Amino acid sequence: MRIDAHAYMGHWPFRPLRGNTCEALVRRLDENEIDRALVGNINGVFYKNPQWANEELFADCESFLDRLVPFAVLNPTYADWEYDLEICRKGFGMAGVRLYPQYHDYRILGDGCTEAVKRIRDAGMVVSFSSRLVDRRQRSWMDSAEDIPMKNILHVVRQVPDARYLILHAFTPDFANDDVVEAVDGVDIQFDMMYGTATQQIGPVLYDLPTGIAALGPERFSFGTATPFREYPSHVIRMELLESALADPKALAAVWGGNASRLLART
Amino acid sequence: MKRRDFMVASGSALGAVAMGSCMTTRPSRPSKAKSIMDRVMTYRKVDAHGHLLDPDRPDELLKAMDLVGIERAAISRPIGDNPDQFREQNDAILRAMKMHPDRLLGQCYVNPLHAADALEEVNRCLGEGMIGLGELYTHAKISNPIYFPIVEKCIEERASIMAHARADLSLLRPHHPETTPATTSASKDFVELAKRYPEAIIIHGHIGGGGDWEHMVKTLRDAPTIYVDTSGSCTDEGMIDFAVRHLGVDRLLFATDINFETGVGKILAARLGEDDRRAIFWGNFNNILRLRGQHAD
Repeated sequence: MRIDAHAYMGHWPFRPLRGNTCEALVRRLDENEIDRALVGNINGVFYKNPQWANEELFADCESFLDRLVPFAVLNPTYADWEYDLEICRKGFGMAGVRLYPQYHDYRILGDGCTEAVKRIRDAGMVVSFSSRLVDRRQRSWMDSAEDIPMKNILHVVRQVPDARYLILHAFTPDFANDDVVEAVDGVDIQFDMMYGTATQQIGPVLYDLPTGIAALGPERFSFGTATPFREYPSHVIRMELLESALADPKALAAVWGGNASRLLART
Repeated sequence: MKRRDFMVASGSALGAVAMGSCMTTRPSRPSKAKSIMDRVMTYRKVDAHGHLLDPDRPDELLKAMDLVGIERAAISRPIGDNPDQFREQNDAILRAMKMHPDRLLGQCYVNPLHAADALEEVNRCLGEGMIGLGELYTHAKISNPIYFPIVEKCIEERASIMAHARADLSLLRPHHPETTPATTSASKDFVELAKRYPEAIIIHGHIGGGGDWEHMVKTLRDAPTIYVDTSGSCTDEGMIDFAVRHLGVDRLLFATDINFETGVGKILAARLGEDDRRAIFWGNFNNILRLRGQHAD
């Protein structure tokens, strides 16, 4: 099974995204022979009350639930968010919650965020942070959100090690760093691999994917594309090159979708 | 039977959230993903903006090029500020070129603030077979008059001039906090140079490598002598299509800037006819090389 662990529908306010509906996403999965995708609604980043976006997502993907796994977007500083969490879980069958402290006006290092992570954990859902949505170098003048450093995400992971995590736009210069290895030890956490390369030519914004996989284990990485922000073929090419770099075909299958499948199986 | 049909027929299309780990053992392996690599290898490619990371291991660079079917690459090492330092980097490129003359093309890196030494180094590098300049960095804007003697030398030699470009807010709207030195070339600086020297072969570095690519493209639209390389880590969907729409296919040069998977992927993702895709991957830059007799074929 191949799963895209990082997909979106909805609108980005600063440029049009093509193919930004669930129906178009399924077409894109078909074109690339990907079985399923974990999808969230970008609109939830910008609505004051993100529950509107979760309702939109559910309505848009209801016909595609055999292919798409909806993830909620929630703002734990907004009124009655716990109720929305329950609706997303029990009413919409959503598998996880994407949190955007950099856009929703709270600190990832604050107690409120930690408490929110615990609530999501207790609801049996996956907690997802995204270090960014777009490259900061090309941000709009209206988009003042800062990237979340990996060390801050790992701080939360240390505070709540028994939650399940999916980290999107995951970037650290060195996944083999002792701090990263120590922080994720024993934690059910996965990283997308958008900034990894399997070519051994490590440019300034890349990390060596085989080294990261060797350090953390193949169970820590999932195929993810950020579609429709990003084009699709690059990510499939990366997986194809990774196939040559990984000696164990089971490791490759895990990254392609086995890991995401395992993460979701516990929801 | 297609993979998707196979999945449904085998009962593996599950509900919204319940997916067991048994799903991971499916043996079927893709036709389509393989066909993507087939597509990758279909096109001849020459990389207009590459770098040699390890000066002693050009073979490692060649391995990466081979993975995505890049036949030739223009490479530089834009490191260091003083003449001894940039000469040392160019020496490394010259050694690599001599080791792999059919694969590696040199781009000469200088700091123009050392004007006399820089011009002397450009003369040396072009004389030893480099194809042009690159990656000129952030010491001075490309429109700074300090570059003029170097540009005139390149015009005389029919050598290309490739420079680092950014479109950060701090360059476009200086009241924003600085994210790149103020001396970094913005697209309008390339336009200014091209107006002064319409016969120069100017390559605007990486539309995917630093900032608002829409702003870059629109700034360059009415400067028809400027080429744009497609490299950089940004792989936004639609970026290449937008560039084609506003600049035309002939002005785009495939490049990686050491981003091999995404460098190739973004060109494959673009909605292009096959001739246009071949032009970007190969023909356009090969035609530039032809001007100095350094093309393939």
